[in-house]
Formats: sequence, C-alpha cells, structure tokens
Amino acid sequence: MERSLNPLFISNFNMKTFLIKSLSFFLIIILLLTLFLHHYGGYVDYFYNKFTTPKASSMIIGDSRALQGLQPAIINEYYNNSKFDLPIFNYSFTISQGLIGSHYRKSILKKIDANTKKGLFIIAINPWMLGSKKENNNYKGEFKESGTPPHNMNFISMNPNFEYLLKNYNYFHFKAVFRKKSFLHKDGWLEENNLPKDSLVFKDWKKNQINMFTGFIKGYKVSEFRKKSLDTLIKDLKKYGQVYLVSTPIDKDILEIENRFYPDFDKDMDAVSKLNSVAYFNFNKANNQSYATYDGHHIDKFGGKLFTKALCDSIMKSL
Amino acid sequence: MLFNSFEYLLFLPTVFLLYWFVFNKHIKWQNLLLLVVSYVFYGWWDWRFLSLIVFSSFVDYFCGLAIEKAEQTKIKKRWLSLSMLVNLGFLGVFKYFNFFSSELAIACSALGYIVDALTLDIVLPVGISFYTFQTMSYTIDVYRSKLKPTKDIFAFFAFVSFFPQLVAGPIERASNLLPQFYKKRRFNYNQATDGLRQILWGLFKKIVIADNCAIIVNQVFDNQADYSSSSLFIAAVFFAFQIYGDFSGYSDIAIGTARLFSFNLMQNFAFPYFSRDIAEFWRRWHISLSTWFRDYLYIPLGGSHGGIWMKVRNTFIIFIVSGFWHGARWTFIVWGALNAIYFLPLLLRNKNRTNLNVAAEGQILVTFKEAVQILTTFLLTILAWVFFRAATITDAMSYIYSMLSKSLFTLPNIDVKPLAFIAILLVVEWLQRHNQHGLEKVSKSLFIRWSTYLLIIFSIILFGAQSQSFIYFQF
Repeated sequence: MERSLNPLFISNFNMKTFLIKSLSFFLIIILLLTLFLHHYGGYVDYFYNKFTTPKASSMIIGDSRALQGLQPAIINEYYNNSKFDLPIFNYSFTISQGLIGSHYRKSILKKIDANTKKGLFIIAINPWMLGSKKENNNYKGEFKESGTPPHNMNFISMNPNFEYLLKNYNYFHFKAVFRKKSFLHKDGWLEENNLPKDSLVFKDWKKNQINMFTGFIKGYKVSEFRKKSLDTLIKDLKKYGQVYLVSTPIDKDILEIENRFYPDFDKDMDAVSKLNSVAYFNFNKANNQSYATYDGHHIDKFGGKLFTKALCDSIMKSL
Repeated sequence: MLFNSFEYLLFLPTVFLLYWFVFNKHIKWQNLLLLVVSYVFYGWWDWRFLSLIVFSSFVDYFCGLAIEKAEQTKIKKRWLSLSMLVNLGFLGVFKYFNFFSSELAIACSALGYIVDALTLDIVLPVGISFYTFQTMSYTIDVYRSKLKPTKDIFAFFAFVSFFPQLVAGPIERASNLLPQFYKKRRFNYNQATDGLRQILWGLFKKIVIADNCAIIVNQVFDNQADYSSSSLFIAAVFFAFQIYGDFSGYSDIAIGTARLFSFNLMQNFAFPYFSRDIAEFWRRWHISLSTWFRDYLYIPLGGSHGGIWMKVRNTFIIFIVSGFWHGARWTFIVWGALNAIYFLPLLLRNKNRTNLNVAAEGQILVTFKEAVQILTTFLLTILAWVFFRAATITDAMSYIYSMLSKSLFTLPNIDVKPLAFIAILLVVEWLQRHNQHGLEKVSKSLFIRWSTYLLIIFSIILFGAQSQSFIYFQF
C-alpha cells in the first residue's frame, strides 16, 4: 500500500512510461547500429572486422605492411586442397599495435581455433616490431601498445562486437562510409582503394614515412624482451601448425634506415628461424624481385597480389 | 568526466536509477547521493582538486551561518570578506598569479629594473571560475538578507558541487538552486523527456558543430599567414559557431541532465546569434554570467544611473572584468573592452533595451531591417571573437588586417563543409527561437519525433568530429 502511494516508485505511471520508452528507443538505436556495423563495419574501422569473425586456424601476423600487403584470398586459393587448415585470417594491425610481445601473443592465441593441428602461420616481421620506446622497460610490463586493440579486447570473435565499439570508439571514422576508400575484408585484409594518381603525392608520403622512421631511431631501441617473445611466439604457434617468418619488401631508402636501427636484424631472424626449424624468407635481399610501394613500405593491392603469390611459391618450395 | 564520453553514458543512467529507485526514500539520501556522484564526476578529472571545492564549501557554509548570527553589520562584513577572500584567493592563485607576476616583471624591466617573474607551476582546476562565483553569490545574498543561510550541510555541499553544472555552468544563484535541494523531488515525465531532448541537442551542437569547426579553426588560426582573407573570414565565422556550439551545447546538456533529476537550472543561452544589437546579444549570451556581473558588480557600482561618465566607467568595468574572468590574457581584456565599445552607443542613447522580444516575433521570416541588424551584430561579434581566440593581441590584429584585404572576395581555400551543419543549426534554432532550446517543440507524431531523434543521433555518429574538450573548462 505504501509503495503504491510513493510517487517515485516504479509503479508510478510517469516513470514506467519513461523507462519503457527510453529502453525501446535505446533498443532501436542498438538495432540500427548493429545493422550499420554489419554492413559498413569494414569501411568505418581498420580493425572492427578482426573481432567479429570466427576463430582462425591459420593466420597472418604483422603490422600494417602485412595488413595491406598479404591477401588471404590469394593464399586460400593457392593452397586449396592442400594439407593446411584453411582459411587463413589476416590478424595484422599497425606498428602501434602489432608489436611482438606478450600482449600480441596473448591475443593471437585467443584468436586461434584450439582444434587446429595443421595451421599455416605467416609472421611478417620487421625491425620496428621488435622495437621499444627507450623510456619503456618491457621487463617491468611497460609496453607502448598497452590499452590498444587487440590487447584491450576480451571478446575477439563476437558479432556485433560492442566491446570493441565501447573501448575503441575513437578508432572509428564513421564519415568514411561515404568515401569508402579503405575496406577491411572479413578475412582481415585491408584493401586501400582510390589511391591518388599523382606520383608527387606518393613522393610526399614517402618523405613523411622517412621522417617518421628517422624519428623512431632517436626514440626507440631494439628490445631484447621482444626478441625473446618472438621466439616464444614461434614455439607456441608451432603447436598448431607450420610457421614461416617473412620480411616484406620495402623501398631501399627505408631499408637503409631500418638497417641503421637494427643492423643485425636479418642475422637474428635467420638465427631464430634456425633455432626453431622454421623457414625465413627475406624479400629485401638484393636478388629479390621488387614490389611497388605507395609510400616506401606499403605495397598497394596490385603489388600485394603478386607478392602474396610469390610468398606462396616460396613456402611451397620449402615444404 | 566529459559529457561527450562513454564514461558519462554509463554514469548518467546509473546515477538516475540509484537516485529514483534506491535513494528515493528520503530527500537527504538523494542529496547525499548527488554529493557523492558529483565528487566522483569531478574527481574523474583530478581528484586532488576536490579539496578546493570541499574547502570552499566549508568556508561558505560557515560564513553564511555566521553572517546570519552576527548582529553588527561590521561583523557580518568580516564574515563576507572571509568568504570573498577564500574564493577570490583561489582564483587569484590558480588563475591570475602567473599573469600578474609576469606583467609586473615586464613593467619593472620597462622601468629599467630587471626582475625575474615568479611563476607557479600549477594546473588551473577545471571549473574553478564557475563554482567560486556560485558560492560567492550565496554568501553575498545571505549578507544582503535576500536568502536565509542553510543549516543542511549536505544540501549546501550538493548545491556547490551539483555535477551537471559544476565545471562549466550555468552559474546558478543560490536563491534559485539551493531551495530545490530542500524540496521533495517528484519525477516528472514531461520534464525528463524534455531534458533528454535538450541533452541530445546539446550533444549535436558540441560534437557535430563545435568539434568540426574546431579542426579548421585550429588549423587556420595557427597558420594564418598561409590563408586567403576569405578563408580567414570563414574560419572566424567557424570560431563563432565553435564557441557557441561548445558552450551552449554544454549548457544544454547540463540543464537537460538536471531536469532528469527534477531540478530546474536557468537558461544560459537564448539563441544569441539572432540578436539585433549588442545589448540584446548580451542578454542572450552566457546569461548566468552576465546577470551575475549585473547583480553583484554593475548595480552595486551604480549601474546605468548617474551621469555619462559613470555609465561609461561602469560599462567598461563590467565588460573588462567579464573578459578577464575568461582568462588571464590581454586578448580577453581587449575582447571585453571591444564589447563595451559596441555597447556604449546603445546605452548612451537609451537604446539598450529596444529589442526585448525575439526577432520576427510571431513571423516566420525577418524583415529586411531586422536581417541587416542581425547580420551587423553578428559581424561585430566575429571581430571580437578573433581577439578571444587569438594567442596574442598582435596575432589578432594581424588576423583582422589580413582578413580585410581584397582576397576577401575570392573563394576560400579551406574545407567549408561545416557550413552545411551550421545552416542546419540556424534553421532549427530559428524555428525554435521562442523556446528554451533547439528541440523543445518537435512534432506531435511519435513517428516523426523518434525519426528526428534518430536522425540527430546518427548525424552525431556519422559526422561527429574527434572528441575535443569543452572550451569553457579552461575558464
């Protein structure tokens, strides 16, 4: 009786109506947002679709060079009817997130289908993925990539993925739905469309990248922790299938900067691959075919097709 | 905590449910809840500065009671002075100390004495200018016997720190807000739904208008030499809408949020860019601050009574102090002085209260004369806003000089897309100019109403720019 007299209690008609209407409206928003993300999720965020897709039995691991340059569709076609557990999924990010270390390793292991036995794992490695900010002590758990996706994600195979939306809202660029310039495919490959035709723009982009990497040399160091993590990652992945280490092709100017940053990179990669009995392909060796990049280190989608095929050939030869 | 953040999206419904369903048994519990959540809201930014609010609240609470208790005016005055000293002291230390110290060093060096400026390495606490003015209004009103001091310490502390308007206003008068903490609040459906509409419109103004304009404004003001006159002019227009969208957007969200808890805050903006003269503009822009200065500074100084000299003096004082309230920079002072210069001819010709109604009252469109008046007033405010935005007076002068060259009549070389959002804002606000906010009256049809809300929400999602902090937080 007392409750029914209380104007603030839920039986209050005003409040009841308010809550019902608010909730209904909220549900409509969620529904529309879900539909929007379902149709346009690949256009409005570089990573969203990586977390809406099922667990993977084969994987490409790396930074933006692999994200754009390695096309799972080509690999799946090439190895159709092979012994590998396919399809392969591109679980690469950018140099801000795709750094070798305990964070990335944890996320990769989360994304792997635990039943996989004959997976194909391509680790597209470069010196920056083994670098760390000078002020960060990796042994004390200080990592540049902390708090970014995929490291802040608990659910990596949920569709729609509202955890990603809530935690990484700032990564979304919803306006891109009108331009549709880049698209993250359901297999994890980021397709860049409508690249400018003016070669001067590419020159300018390359100059910016050179400046960025030159700046990295000042603020970054090669991390022993990450080097050990690479070894651990290879060992972990080997439990699920075959692992291949790849150095993706880049322009000479940028390669020269990377050699300054990490002179023993090729030697160390060779050593870690031998230690774990996995193949290592360095596509930056002088006798290798060159692939056009649009900014010095990202291969465009046409070059990416050729490069992915060339990598498949190399893997096939090593089998 | 920012209103345009996910934290707030979770915070607000949680507080709403606790307020109406858990702490609803007694008004004291509700006040206590509001106090705690307000401190959480503020502490989210930097919990160390909570001590300032708590201290300021304690001082003003006890000063209020002491003023009432004192029988002699002399004693009452002492308690009032203590309250002023503490509040203005906080402002002086945190906001103005470095400015005065540097200016003193410059003055000394001009006289031939080289002195190193003593500066403090301190952060300006968010919202300090807002809550100190709010608490000062309490002790002044108690001193003037316009308000009975409260003995309810929780109600008073909750009044000082009420989270919707704590960091950027509206600067509430104790006589309006404090009594609302004594009365049993009843949930009101119409008030709450209108509150939600006002929040939505505030978010649109902040995220779609202000944040999109900010990108271009920052680019142009930081590299003004690279842009043509027409681009500089468009960027100045964008700044006018950035600051309006930002600040009135915040006020809308604050007022709307308060309404969800059955509190009524004062209107802070009344569609100021439809003003037909500067006097009207100042009746419609940051109303809570303008009326604060009117009641606690302008009128005690004699207001518009007395001779011409007194009117001129008081006008300059109120506008310059208002400019200085915004920050310890000469550009704000010039901005205030410029507005005083705009305002004086109206005051001296007794035309400052000509336009008390809304433009085109009862009509859909303005007359030609009104259109010219509105446009002129807007252009004058743009000129003043350049000083408000520029880093130095030299920058502002050079900006204006560059803006008024021949290339003013060429096509701008900046992204003008925000003009489309501004046009939408102007149309909506023009249609709603008789009301309290831009979404007060929407169609009676549920379908049209909800479609409108959804359209606004998806505009915010699709066209919203990268989240920026509210400009007025720095004041």
